[in-house]
Amino acid sequence: MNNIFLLNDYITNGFRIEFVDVIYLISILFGVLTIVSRNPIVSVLFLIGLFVNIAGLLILVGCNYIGLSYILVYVGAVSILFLFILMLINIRISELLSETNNDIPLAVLTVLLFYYIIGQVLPSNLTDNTIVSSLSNSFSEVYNVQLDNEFLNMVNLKHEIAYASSKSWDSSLVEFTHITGIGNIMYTSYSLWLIISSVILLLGMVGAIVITIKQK
Amino acid sequence: MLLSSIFCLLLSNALSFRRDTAILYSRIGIIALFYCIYLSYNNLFITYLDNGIGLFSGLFYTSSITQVFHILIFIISLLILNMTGFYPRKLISSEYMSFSKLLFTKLQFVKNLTVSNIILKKGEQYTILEYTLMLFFIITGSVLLISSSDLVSIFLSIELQSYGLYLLCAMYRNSESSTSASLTYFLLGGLSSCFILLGIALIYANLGVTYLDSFYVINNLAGIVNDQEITTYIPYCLLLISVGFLFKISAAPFHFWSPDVYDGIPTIVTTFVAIIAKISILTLLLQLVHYTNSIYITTSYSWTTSLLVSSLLSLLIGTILGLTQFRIKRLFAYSTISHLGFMLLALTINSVESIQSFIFYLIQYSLSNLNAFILLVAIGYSLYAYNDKNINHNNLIDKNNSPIQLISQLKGYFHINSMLALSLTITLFSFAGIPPLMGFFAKLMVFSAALQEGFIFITLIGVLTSVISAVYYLYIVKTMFFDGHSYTYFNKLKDLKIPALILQKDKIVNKIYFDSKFALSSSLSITISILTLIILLFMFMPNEWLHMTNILSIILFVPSSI
Repeated sequence: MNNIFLLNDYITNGFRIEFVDVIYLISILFGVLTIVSRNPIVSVLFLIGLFVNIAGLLILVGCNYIGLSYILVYVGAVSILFLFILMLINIRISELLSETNNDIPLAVLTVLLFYYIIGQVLPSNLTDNTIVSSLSNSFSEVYNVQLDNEFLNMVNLKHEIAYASSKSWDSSLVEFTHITGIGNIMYTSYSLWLIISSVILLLGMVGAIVITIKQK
Repeated sequence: MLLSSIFCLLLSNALSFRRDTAILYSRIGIIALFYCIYLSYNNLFITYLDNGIGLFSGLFYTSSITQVFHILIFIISLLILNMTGFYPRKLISSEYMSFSKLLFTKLQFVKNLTVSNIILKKGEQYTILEYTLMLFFIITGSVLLISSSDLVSIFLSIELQSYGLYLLCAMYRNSESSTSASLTYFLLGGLSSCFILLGIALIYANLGVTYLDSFYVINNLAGIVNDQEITTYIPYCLLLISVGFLFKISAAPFHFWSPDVYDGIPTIVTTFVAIIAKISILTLLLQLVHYTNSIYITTSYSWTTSLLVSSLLSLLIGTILGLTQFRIKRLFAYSTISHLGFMLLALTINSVESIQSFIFYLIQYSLSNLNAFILLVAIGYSLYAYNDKNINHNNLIDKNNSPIQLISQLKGYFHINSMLALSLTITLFSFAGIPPLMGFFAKLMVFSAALQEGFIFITLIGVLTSVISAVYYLYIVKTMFFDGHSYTYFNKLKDLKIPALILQKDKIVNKIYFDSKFALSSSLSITISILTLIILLFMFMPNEWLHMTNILSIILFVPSSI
């Protein structure tokens, strides 16, 4: 029984850690290219590539719904809108060129400072003394031990579990889809957030009309 | 109530075709705000609310502090709506003053085209239908922000509030400066929202918690149990969030946008933008700082010390840069920054007395700032009938929306309208902290709270900067009272008679002529006089306010009794 479950997990949720690294590298490359490229249209195309890449990452990690909606919203709507606007407003590329490199040290300094501060905060860097990681580590160890006792004859079990997403433990309790989960949460306990965000959207619509309407 | 009135207004806005009915919408807004005040006053059970009750499964909460600040926000936005709800000037005629005539006869003006350019000169604020609607969106956002007790609802409501504010700034589309100011505001506000979001995401990634209550519990327990090793990264997250908030309230290291924005947008909008956002965010910070004060980064350095740094910088920058300003709204922006320094100081100390002084300072500063801006608007209205000889003043950008822009435009204003000049003087003295006025007591309370907790250096800085800032307040007073003015009354208006007919049951009874004595309309003058009298006469009945602030701060500190 458990064997089947693990196999199932391997097919749907599991991923090789190397793929994630490859995706990280590609997305960093796309991000840099988005900033560096002179032509705004090319830059937007790289942005689209970045979005697709990250959507793939999300799907691989297990957030299927978020990944799909990422493609739908960002790639399908926002970036295409960017592309259309850029094609419509006819920017000359020569205006965008700047010859000064004075701001590079500042940029490097900012990035280093930011990374120094944030790097302390990111949970992955503090593998040993955070509450969450220690909790999750202990949880997964217990899990491993149990499995080891039950399936001593299985080869390479620890290796296989290592790439299952250990922190999203709730998905392994009950196997329901993400859309169901999101719907369950959004329409029950967090329904007020839904209302507030709908009010924000209403405000955005009204505001766009107010700013652009032709007054008599 | 707010939401339903928003929808009603939206519907009627969409259906109405006439642009000149905007004034009526403002009046409807005033009525709705009265009802909101009544509702939140009705819910203010200080004994039962105790430390606060969670609403909507803990996403929001209500306590006496939130209720009181709701009422404050409603009152202030009511007074701001009052500026657009009524026409700014009126004509007085002694023949038409008796009650019987007022009640039973109707007045009809005979159209006179040569005059109408000046007399019927309407600001753009009377043609924007959606102004009240936007205001209501913003008020909804700030009310929700004050009473939110969950990180995500904080973010949602702060976004609701700030989108409304950006739109409000951009609403006067005919003026170039207000559009550019709105764009600045939008970009920097978006940046600060990113900071807030990053902080929230890091907190969630580290603790897996978005409820503020459980967040506080985890922090304070972890601080006791594990020698503060667990929580080393939490202060950084909180710092990121508070950087976002400081951006939004334009405290010192992040203040660069506020003078430009305040200067660019019309004065009526400036009033709203400068006050409402600060009240809501500072109240939220009060809650946040109070409950996370005991988290230390190292053994003696809690994250609120960074707020103290921001307060020190605000004090210094607000006063010193304010000295060089010659545009009056930029000056007000810098004075706001220095006053924020005082408020942040009181916030950071976090003792019973300092929280009391913080609440008092916030209330009194919002009221007197409101008074200062309303006075600017009123002075602008009262100068419509005058011709300015000074050439420099004639080619100011965007003169229709914010008529008073330079301090030198106020030269000798005392000789034109002495009462308005006196009121402005009283308000400025209250800013500067001259003893019998309200601002003095607020500063005194902050300083005594700071001294009690041993913050001697920053108290010294506070005293020094408030002395320095008195220089520029007194400079305005000096230009108003002792300089000669360059205004002349319009010749056309001097011997102008405005014909009007008095009708009784559609029969012409009498024909009278108004001479061109324009007075400020009673809505403006009543608002100004009430606010000025509050500032002036606070020392005679301070008990109510002080007791209220005292009760609120004690409630925050005493653990729940039930």
